Amino acid sequence: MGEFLKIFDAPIFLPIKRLFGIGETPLLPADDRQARPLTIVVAIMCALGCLAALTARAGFRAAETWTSDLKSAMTVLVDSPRDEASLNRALIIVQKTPGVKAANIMDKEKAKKLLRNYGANIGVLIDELPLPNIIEVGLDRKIEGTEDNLQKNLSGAGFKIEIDDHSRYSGEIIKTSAVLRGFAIMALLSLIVAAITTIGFAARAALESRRDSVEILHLVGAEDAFVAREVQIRFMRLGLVSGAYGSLAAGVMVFTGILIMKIGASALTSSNDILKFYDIWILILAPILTAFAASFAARIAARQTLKELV
Amino acid sequence: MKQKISQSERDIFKQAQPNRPLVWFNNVYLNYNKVKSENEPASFALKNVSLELQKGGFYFLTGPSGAGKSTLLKLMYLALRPTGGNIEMFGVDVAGASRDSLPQLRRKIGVVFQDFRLLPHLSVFDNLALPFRVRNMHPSKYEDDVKELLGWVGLGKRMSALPETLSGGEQQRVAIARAVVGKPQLIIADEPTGNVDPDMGSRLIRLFIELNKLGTTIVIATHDHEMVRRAGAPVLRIDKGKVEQFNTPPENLGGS
Repeated sequence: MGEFLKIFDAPIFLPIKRLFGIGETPLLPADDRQARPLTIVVAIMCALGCLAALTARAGFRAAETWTSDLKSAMTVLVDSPRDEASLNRALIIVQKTPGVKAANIMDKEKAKKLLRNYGANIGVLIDELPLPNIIEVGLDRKIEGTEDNLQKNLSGAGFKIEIDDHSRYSGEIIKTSAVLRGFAIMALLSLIVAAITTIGFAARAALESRRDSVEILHLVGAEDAFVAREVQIRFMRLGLVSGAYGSLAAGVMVFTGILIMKIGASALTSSNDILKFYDIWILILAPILTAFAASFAARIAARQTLKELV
Repeated sequence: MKQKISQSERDIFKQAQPNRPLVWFNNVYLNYNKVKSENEPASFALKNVSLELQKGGFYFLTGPSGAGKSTLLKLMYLALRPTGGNIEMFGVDVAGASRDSLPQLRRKIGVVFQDFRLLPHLSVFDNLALPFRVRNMHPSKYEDDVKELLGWVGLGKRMSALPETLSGGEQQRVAIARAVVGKPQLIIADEPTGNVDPDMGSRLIRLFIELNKLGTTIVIATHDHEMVRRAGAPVLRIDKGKVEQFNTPPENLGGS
């Protein structure tokens, strides 16, 4: 076992060992008084960033699902003739129209529910109102022109109809979803900028507080790039740890939120999960991105500060 | 120990002029404060300093407190740049050298500070290994040298100790070992015997003499006039920012 571990003494493993603080003592160690609050701040930013990214993802998927559902269905309102036999005849015509996957007559109770939504507002008794004759149509979206065909076939058979393809709703959903995603992406970008600025500021402060050590490193022949790399590695590690905490926190929040939604969900909200299990890639990627952002910010800040220090 | 020479080292030493003094100052001025207007008088820490240190020489720097000794040493170990004049180190013009080229020159200089300036969070071994680590050398390439040197300065059994657990004399030996470990051409020591007892002071001076015999140029700043006279080595006397150079210790070494 000991012999096997000696493999990791090879020069190729040195940068990796330095990243994880294995073997060599860091030349510019973190000051705990600074590192702890910074870890918490970056973790919170990462958690908020994950939530923003997941919100954007969920918004996109919800809009996609809802618009897909709306575009896959339409309703045909048969205004006249209004008798039962004519409605059945209309249903057969609809079922035979190319592009129609399924069709059925909306049952009386469901139609009554539709009316109730409006009837309650105008203070009339639902049972006194004439119920609409509605045929619910499921569409094969690969076939185009179904709406025109339905219109033509039913009008040709003497029916007076109105077709609702739900386009006014899908347009609203797409618009709302785009705005939601826009806000989420803006929030994510703002958080990235805030995190980079915070880490840059912290890196400067870290170098200022270790001014004596930096001076010694310079005097023994360290190049600015070497000192900057020491700072960079330290903040990369901090970014990785903070990012992992933030990701975990966001994961717990999202999981709890999904559970709560499932418990009190209606058929509409529970029928389609707007977040899938594989969306976990956002939470896995977040610590890595945070580490790279932290590393980038620390390196830039360190190079600038070093020029001013000695 | 074989050390590789990097491309940047080759570039900087391409400029080096052979047969020049190891250290050459010509009309060097140093002003710590930036002069904001023409009417404001400049306060110079060093004025019109010219000196030459030859390769393999042994020099003492004397002068009263506040005379500019530390400033002169800082210019020598490249912690400061002159306000005016020319400085050549190892045949390279450092006043005009780029910031990126300075580390290569600093690696040829070992510095011993009066207050040791060891990194407190690093062990004795790690403090000694600093010059190698900043060159990105793998530990396997310097471990043996560091251990050997630690044995030589009598700290072989205290390799893992932190500086705060060492006595003043032990810390000073670590500081000297750190200055020596990279095999520099020039060693600059600022009051190396100031914080140790007389016996340890004598031993340290003997150590510097041994290093000088191996060809290393030594510059020691000191207030110990007795030691300077006993050694009989060339002296740089500084007072009020001006430097005079003597081949043997003068009657008046300046200050107490």
